[in-house]
Amino acid sequence: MTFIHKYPKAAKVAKANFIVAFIALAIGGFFGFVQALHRTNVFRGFFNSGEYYTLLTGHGVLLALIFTTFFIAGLFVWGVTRSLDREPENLAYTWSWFWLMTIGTIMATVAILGGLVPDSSIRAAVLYTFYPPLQAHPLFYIGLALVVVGSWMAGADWFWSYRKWRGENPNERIPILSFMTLFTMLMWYVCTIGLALEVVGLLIPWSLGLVTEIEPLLPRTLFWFFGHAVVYFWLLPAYYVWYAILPKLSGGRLFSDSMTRIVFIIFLLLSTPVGYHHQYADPGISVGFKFYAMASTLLLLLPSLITLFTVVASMEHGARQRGGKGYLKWIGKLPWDRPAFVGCALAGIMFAAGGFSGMINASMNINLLIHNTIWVPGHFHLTVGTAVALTFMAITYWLLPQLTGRKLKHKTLALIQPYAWFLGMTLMSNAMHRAGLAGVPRRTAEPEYMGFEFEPIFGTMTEMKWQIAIGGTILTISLILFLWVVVASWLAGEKSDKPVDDHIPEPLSGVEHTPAILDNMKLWFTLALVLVILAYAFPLWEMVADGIFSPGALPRPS
Amino acid sequence: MPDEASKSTNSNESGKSWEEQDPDIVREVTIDEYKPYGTLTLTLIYFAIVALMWVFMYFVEFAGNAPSIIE
Amino acid sequence: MYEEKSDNSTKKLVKILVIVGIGIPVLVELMTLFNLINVQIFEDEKDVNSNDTNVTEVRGFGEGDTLFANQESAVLIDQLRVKVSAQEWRFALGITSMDSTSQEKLQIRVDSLRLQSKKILLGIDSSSWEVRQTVPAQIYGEWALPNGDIPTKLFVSIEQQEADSTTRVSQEIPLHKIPVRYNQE
Ligand code: HEM
Ligand SMILES: [Cu+2]
Repeated sequence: MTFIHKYPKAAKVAKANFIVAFIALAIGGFFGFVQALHRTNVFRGFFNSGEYYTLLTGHGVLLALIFTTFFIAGLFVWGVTRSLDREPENLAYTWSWFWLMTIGTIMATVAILGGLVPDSSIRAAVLYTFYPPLQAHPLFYIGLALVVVGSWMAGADWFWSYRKWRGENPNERIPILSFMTLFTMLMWYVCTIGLALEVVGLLIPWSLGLVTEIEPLLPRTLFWFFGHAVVYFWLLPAYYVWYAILPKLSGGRLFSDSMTRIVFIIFLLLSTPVGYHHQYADPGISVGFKFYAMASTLLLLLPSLITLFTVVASMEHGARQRGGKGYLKWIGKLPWDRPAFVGCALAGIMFAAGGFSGMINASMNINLLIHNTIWVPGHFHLTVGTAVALTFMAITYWLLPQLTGRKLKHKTLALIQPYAWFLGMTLMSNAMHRAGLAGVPRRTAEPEYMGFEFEPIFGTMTEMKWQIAIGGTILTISLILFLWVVVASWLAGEKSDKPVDDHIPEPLSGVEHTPAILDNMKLWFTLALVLVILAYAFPLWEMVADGIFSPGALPRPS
Repeated sequence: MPDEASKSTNSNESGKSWEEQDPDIVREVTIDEYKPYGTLTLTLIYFAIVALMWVFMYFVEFAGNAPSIIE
Repeated sequence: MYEEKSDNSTKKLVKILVIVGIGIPVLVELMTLFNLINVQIFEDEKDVNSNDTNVTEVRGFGEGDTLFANQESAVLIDQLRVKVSAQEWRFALGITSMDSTSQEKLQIRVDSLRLQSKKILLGIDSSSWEVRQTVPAQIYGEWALPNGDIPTKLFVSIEQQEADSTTRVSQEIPLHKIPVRYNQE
């Protein structure tokens, strides 16, 4: 018996979400390949440079917004169902949020791809940050709005299951998989307020022509109200996998239940109030507020450091149970021949490396050194592009058998895949970081460094451009391997009653040592709202005083 | 306790612990005997790198004797 | 974990994968760190030192500076630009005489240009001067540059015709950073 046999309805929902996620991954990944070759001038035959921005929008939206959201929805359906031991409460409701999100995705994708049709009036080359004055067809904004509304309904679905479960189990602690899901969704509710205000209040009316002028600073601010927390919306599900499943894949148990809960609470509290750290270079926001955002951001390193410790300690526990010894020798005893483990572990290592460049980005003064350079994509391909994406791919090798009742096929290819991703990403991201330090801009179809002398810090422009192109190609090969393994296993994997060992053991330091207050969702949610109001009320008020609602007025220096 | 294990779809027929059932696991390490020295080592290495990079940053940003922002 | 025990061929594969998939990345990062430290900490000092000597030596000429200041016929650089357009890069130079010397009496020649790439542009044709004003003399010229190259030194000579004699003076003019402007034409 595995998941699909016990909860066939939830399995179907989770699989549907995964299908959309993987289609988005395939299309978006292909665009990434084209970009890596185009901007380095290795090959520009796929599309012209005007279309580059359409592709880049497709890449950002389909991977960072769509792939992640759908995968997360599938993962959470699996986790909530399993840990509360109940199928979704009302299937019509469950399918309605899935279809709402899917229809929204199709609308936004059509709007983006319209840009590849000559003379089409439907286009959306606004990049995944969609800042005005770049304007997209209304279809794009409305589609994204539907995705967000669908995700809210999905969250409500899981809270609904939780309420029902609570009614039947009044004295039990929230099971850890559900705890992580619910706290991630609470954070999502807080941060999407900003996005909803931006899209519904400003962008949709503006794209429909109902409003003709909007001040760019306001939508930017509202976007980043959402924009930093969204990176944690991607990351927390990866943490969920690292906390709940990776210890078992390593042959051990989660080190501490209470640490896990504390980490998720800190993220709920601090994810949203730090959004200004994406606006260090924006005029119209007082430097004091930016400084506050920087301080909170550095505070936010804490839960990630706790995670580093807890997850590594859980892996070490596994290694020792597998006979590992010594200070570092135990690492060799980890199952480096199992794709699901390898993917998660390498993703974690990349995330630690992403922490280095993240600290640079977070520091207000040093940020200016790399602001809007290709360094920034270099950084987030380590975080969302690997820590998150590679974890999702890796855990698919473990989840898919549970959802389909079929064994994984092509285990050798599946094993090569995470190593290839790690290699390709190191090459691409390393060169992006270095090129960024030399000032090479991001979001540029033809960054030209030919015909005149330009000295990067070290190395040469040509060498870096090749490193990006080769890294991107290896990544694309890795992605194809992943998709091939998934499709082959899904359609033709050997049917089995027990296709994978899906048992999750109890933590070493269990929930009985966890203070009850950590489960008090009302308390933490209220506190999160208070912190957001504190962080955003003053700067927003300042913007209003500066005339944000009378676009075109001269700004008043503050 | 609502152990994930008890909710698991895995049937623990014999009442043996998960560790005992897994052929790859040579011995069960309980919380009392588990001392994560390896984790400590790795964490210290990580902090050392962070500290080193931070010191290095001083040269890049302040001692480079060149403006960070050009023009 | 009820999967088959990994056999020897898997072990070998894992070894290769770890060496290629983790070894190369670690190597790449170590090389980067090494190079960065090398450049930032050790090469910087050399640069700083050589800059120091340069600075004390000469500060280049730029727009608004006077040439031949110690001669009778001093002239002023009133324009010094690199004009960039989609097609080509051009060096633009405009010169005005400081007193009311007329154009016929004053002959200015750009003998050669030394470029950043250490190339020398020779035989620059004085006929390319465009006379903007005759009294006081004001002339203007443009020269095509090899793409992306910028002049660092000018060799200029000036000929002044007095009643019966001609004085000819040459000067080597190191240039300050020349403003590069995009030309929308
Ligand atoms: C096949 C693997 C991938 C390749 C070759 C690739 C390549 C690239 C390149 C070259 C850029 C920079 C383009 C520019 O700024 O001009 C970029 C941007 C970006 N990538 Fe990727 N990428 C890959 C996978 C991913 C994944 C898995 C994610 C996230 C889940 C991701 C998210 C993004 C985002 C959000 C941007 C920024 C878009 C923007 O600036 O608007 N990429 N990618
Ligand atoms: Cu952020």
